[in-house]
Amino acid sequence: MAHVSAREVTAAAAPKDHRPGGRRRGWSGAWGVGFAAPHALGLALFTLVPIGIALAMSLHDWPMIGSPSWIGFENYRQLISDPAFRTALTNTLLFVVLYVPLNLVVSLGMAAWLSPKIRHRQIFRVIFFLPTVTPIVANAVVWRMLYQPNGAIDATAQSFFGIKLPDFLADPHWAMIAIVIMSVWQGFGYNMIVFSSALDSVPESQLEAASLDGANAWTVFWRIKLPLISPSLFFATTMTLITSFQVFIQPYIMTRGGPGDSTVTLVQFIYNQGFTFQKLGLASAAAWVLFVIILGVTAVQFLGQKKWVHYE
Amino acid sequence: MRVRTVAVATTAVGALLLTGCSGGQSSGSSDTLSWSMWIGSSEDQKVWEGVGNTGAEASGKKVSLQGSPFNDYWTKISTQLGTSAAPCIVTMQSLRVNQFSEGLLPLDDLIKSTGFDTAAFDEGAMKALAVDGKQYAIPYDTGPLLLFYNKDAFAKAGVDAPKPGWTVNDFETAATALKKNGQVALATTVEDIFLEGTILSTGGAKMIDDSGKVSLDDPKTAQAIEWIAGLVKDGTATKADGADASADDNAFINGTAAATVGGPWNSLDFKAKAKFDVGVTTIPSPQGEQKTYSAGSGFGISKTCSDPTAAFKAITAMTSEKTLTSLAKDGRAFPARTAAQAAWYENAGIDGAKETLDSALASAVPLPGSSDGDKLNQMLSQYGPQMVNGEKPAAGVLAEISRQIGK
Repeated sequence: MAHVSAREVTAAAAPKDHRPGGRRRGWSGAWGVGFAAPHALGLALFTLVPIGIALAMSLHDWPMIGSPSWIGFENYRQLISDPAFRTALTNTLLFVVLYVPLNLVVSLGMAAWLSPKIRHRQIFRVIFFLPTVTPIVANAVVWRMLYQPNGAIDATAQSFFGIKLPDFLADPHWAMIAIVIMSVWQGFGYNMIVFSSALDSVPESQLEAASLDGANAWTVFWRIKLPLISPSLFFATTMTLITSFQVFIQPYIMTRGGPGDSTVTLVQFIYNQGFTFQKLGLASAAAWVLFVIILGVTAVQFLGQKKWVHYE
Repeated sequence: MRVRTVAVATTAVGALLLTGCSGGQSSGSSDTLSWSMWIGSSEDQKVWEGVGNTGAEASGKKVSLQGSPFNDYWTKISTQLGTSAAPCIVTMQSLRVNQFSEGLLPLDDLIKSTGFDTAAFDEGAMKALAVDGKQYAIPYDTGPLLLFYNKDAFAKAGVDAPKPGWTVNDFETAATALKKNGQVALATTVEDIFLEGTILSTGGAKMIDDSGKVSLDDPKTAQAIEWIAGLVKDGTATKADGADASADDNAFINGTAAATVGGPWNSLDFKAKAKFDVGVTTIPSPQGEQKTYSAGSGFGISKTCSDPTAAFKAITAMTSEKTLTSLAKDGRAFPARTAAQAAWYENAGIDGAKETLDSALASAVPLPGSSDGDKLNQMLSQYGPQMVNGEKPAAGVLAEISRQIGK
């Protein structure tokens, strides 16, 4: 009912009122506020308010049970001087540096391979997308078993090549690499679908024109297709970077941060400080540091996009 | 105006809905007592629901059971205690009571006013759930740490069934014989309670001192861990897995390892799942002198519970002789109430269980709780495997754990 009357109102108001910013805009503005309100309230209550509360908590010594006390920037000072925090930061950066390029290369490569010329490409798409839609905890548990000594990977290497592989998750040099590989397997399907549909929408006429001009497949891909799908590349890079800074479940399930502290990531550091060490203030401060890092990296990407992203 | 009214109304309804979402249920609604418990399986759920029913009958209120797996339980309860979302009845483990006592109600007044008979309980079990002289929970189970072993594997390797009071040397001889037979002897773990128990028995070292402080710089602790690491290197013990707390239990149950450290609370699970004859003995000690930890769990009341009197009535029934005897018959828990303990022995179905338990209990000391208990457990899961598996010297790893906990 409300919807019908809105249209009536707008239709009736339109011919009478031609002033910009006049009565009509005010009316539809009210409707806009009405429709946006549930989302805006949700955003405010479940995102903005918690972010604000976390900021307030980060300035307190806030135990899980008991009363908080104001300590100013002491939590931040403690973080800077804490080697465990620096290790978590380094581990997270290592994960991001390894994971993001690998994810993009694999997903773009698979998307390029899955061109419309491939038979049954829809089936392949579904298969490659499956890990993304299966619960990550279940995937991590399965990969834990695969990585174990005498697990599927080690057993295969032994029987085919006679090589005993390292105990991936118990070896500080291998644990992070093992987690990155598992994460790429888990996550590349999403970007692959994004790239695949972007590649499909590249106009046939431009590809034809390029090949008439004598461009080979590599040049077509590099000079025509990539610039044309650059908005998708930008989207995928931004989202993948954001989520990779938040990596938690894979190391939590596969190594608990071990061996030693070699796979403790920032989010696990936050989780440990908050829920195991019961220092909610310190955990909130670390969460704010992570938030600022992600915000900064995303801002740099948005600034940089002018140079390489073409919206046409 | 009508449109503006619609906008305002939509906003108001949205706000109302969202406020409704955030309200949640407080711990003591007028006719329900919420009770949080760690639950590992649907069998567990059924048994504990039965216990909850006895509490409901006694208190005249519905007891609603909120279960979560053991490790997640502590994360969940730490976010709940001290808030209105805290359950009324809180299940508490002796070694963690220090950490959560601030969110729990001291029960001493209720014990006094209701004439609750604490003398009917094992003294150590009662003490283990008290902090600074205040009682925070009534125990339902207790028990010393023991060594469960695979009788079939021992017999196959020609090793005599170990008697309570056996020594580290006896164990090493048995481990060598088992190894010759292609059988790994011990399933290792870095889980706090079992690692601490093993280290106390085999090396006389304590990782938490009697005042509840994590103390890892005693050279005896490093030596005891190096002894386990030696077994791992030797191939007579499995590697510890920090990310999987049940790896040692699974290795024992599936026959990979012939022995593992556990408590009486493990016996039902081991007996039900193992396809071999399960035996139980004391954890070996250097000279056969007995030394082991006992740990137990009980029910407490959260500070935010709106009806502690009803909650205490429920707890009284949930730890009554009848209830604990029934739990003992199921083999679920070795009762903290001495009168109910006979039922456990009768139904344990493990030969020599009584002899072993009597022997272990005689010298058992309560595993001290620590406010840093969960920290230690987390650090052990991260760093523990490096020392227990012999990849790094124990003393260095212990120093690193101390540094991380102490900061």
